[in-house]
Amino acid sequence: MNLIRLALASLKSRASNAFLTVFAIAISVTLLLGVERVSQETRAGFANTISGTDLIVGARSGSTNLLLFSVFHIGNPTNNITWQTYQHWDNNRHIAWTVPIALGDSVRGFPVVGTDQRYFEHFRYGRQQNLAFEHGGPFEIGEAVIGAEVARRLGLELGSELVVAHGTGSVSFHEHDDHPLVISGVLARTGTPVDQAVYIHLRDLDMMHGGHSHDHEHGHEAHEHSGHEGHNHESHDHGDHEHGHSHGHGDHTHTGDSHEAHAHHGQHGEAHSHEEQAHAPPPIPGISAFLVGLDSRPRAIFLQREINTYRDEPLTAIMPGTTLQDLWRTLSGFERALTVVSAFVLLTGLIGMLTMLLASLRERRREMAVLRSIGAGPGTVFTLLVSEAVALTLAGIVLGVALLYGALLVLAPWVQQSFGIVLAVSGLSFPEWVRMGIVLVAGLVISFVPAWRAYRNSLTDGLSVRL
Amino acid sequence: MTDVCISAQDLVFTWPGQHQSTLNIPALTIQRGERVLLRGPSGSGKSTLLSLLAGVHDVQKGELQVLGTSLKTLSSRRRDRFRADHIGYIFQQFNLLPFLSVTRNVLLALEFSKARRARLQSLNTGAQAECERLLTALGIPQELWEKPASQLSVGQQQRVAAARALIGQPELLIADEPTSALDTDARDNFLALLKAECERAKITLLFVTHDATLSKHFDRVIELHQINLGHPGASEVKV
Repeated sequence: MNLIRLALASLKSRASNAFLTVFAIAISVTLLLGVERVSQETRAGFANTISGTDLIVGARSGSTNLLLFSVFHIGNPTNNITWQTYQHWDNNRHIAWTVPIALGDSVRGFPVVGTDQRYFEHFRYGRQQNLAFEHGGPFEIGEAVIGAEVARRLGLELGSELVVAHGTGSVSFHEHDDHPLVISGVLARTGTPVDQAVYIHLRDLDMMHGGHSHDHEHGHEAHEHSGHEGHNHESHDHGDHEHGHSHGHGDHTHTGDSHEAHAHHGQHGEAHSHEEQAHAPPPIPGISAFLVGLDSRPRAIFLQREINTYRDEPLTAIMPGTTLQDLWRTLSGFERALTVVSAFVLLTGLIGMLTMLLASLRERRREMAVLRSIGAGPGTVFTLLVSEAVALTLAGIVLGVALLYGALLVLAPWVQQSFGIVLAVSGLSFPEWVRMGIVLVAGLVISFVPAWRAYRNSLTDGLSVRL
Repeated sequence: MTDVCISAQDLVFTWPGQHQSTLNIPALTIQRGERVLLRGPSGSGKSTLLSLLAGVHDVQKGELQVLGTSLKTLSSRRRDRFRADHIGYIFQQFNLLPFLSVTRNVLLALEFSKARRARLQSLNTGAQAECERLLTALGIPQELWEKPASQLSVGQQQRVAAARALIGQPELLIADEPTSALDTDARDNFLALLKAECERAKITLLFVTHDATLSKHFDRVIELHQINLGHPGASEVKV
């Protein structure tokens, strides 16, 4: 039976109405799938951002804040951890490795992460994947490593020079152009915030902020506003002063520590200084956070408590997995709200279809009578209406998916740039198929209303239609 | 095989909610191959009789046989199939699905009936060939065959409707005032073509009209109000 072809031909004769109906359904499908897609990708992105790190330690702050700035480079650290404190924990016998992180500067809008070579050794994302280099290798002093997205967006490659700006805005009023860095490596794409960051050595970061200076009065703030001539002068001295730079105090870090922190530092510096001064001078007086890997994972909970109750400096330690989950739970309410809104948009689309089908029934009673006269039963009339609605819904779903992919292609780079969420233009996932199935079933169920009415009409009308 | 095409005995039909029967026909017989003009003004129970013959409504009381089959014994689904297989039906107007081409309108009748397709096969002709033969015989110019039905004149549409009713050679052709929208020339032309085709395939023609001037084209004229003892009237308002 060519009922489907008949339904399509009939629909075609009402093309403009049909198209509007399809379009309304398509938009709701795009929204439904889009919300699902974005939240899936966000969730996956969240979960994949960091792995293999047992604890993240920062100055005392909210755990979400610590997670956001240390891993996602969103927001700013509230305070710094002194190098001495960091050293103290680095030497803890349960701790296998640590990676220091200092944040606060940027390169044309991309965050700069001050760290050292251990970052490339220990940082893992996704399923315990290490960072890989697309080109080159880890930085030495005076060099920088950039993420894949930074390389692409800024058109930088191995050997390019880059200038770090103070602060995190994309427009900075102060650039450390006295201290350009040479790119030593470009990281392979990870789909995480790693792609969006510039990695430099802690020591370079410190130098940019005048940390080499022995002059306490020449603090961070003063430095920020000083003229470029002064900078050039200072930069000449770098090489000479690097090794002599051993005091490690002063609020010279880029994140703008308070005098209080400075005082802290002064107090406790003595207690731990014998350790580090025996080895090497601290590359920077303070860091924003450090990542911790343990010999035995179950120890994380004990160590977390130990760090949180450390009396020499107020610290916060978080287990990234747990905090990610908490954060996700906070966001999932928002996701649900969006889903509800798109469900209502879908409802509107389906009611539009219902209206269109019901309105068309009046003019189509003649059509139904003709079909009856050549032997179509009321059941056929019912089926015809249902298949018409299903065809409309299917077309709406197909168009909706096309719109979704169109939107993904257009918006994905912007979303990645703005929110660090990588929207992969991948195939449809199972939950997305489920949502499309729900739309189809809803369209089917709604079509029973006009189909039932057409069925009743064709029973009472028979072959004689009174118009 | 019986020679009787339609036979009714004590056929009574009352519309739901009515006290009096619309149709009450003690006896009616139409032979196979007969060309009968059924004359009745509006409200004479015409539509009710036709819908019973076509098997759209249940036979409530009495007996109604078409081609020897008692319609009373058939389920509504079987009656639909019976209609598809054995009865061609032409309305007063708007017979065609305006969004389908002329050819597809004609072929549509075959899609609902295996029996019509089988008959074409036994005549050694294909659906398309028979469709083209009928359209030619009924005077539809070839350049219109693939046009949407809505582009045809009313007269042409009625002839296409006749082609659809006739394709696959049903035994009975019911035409419900098919010429009322046509002018005299078109009407006579239409009747002549219809008659010729019915004769050719030995199709019984039941032609309903209130136009007495057409009687010369038919073997027999039945005045509905003479055979119907029921009380049509308000229940049968035909606009």
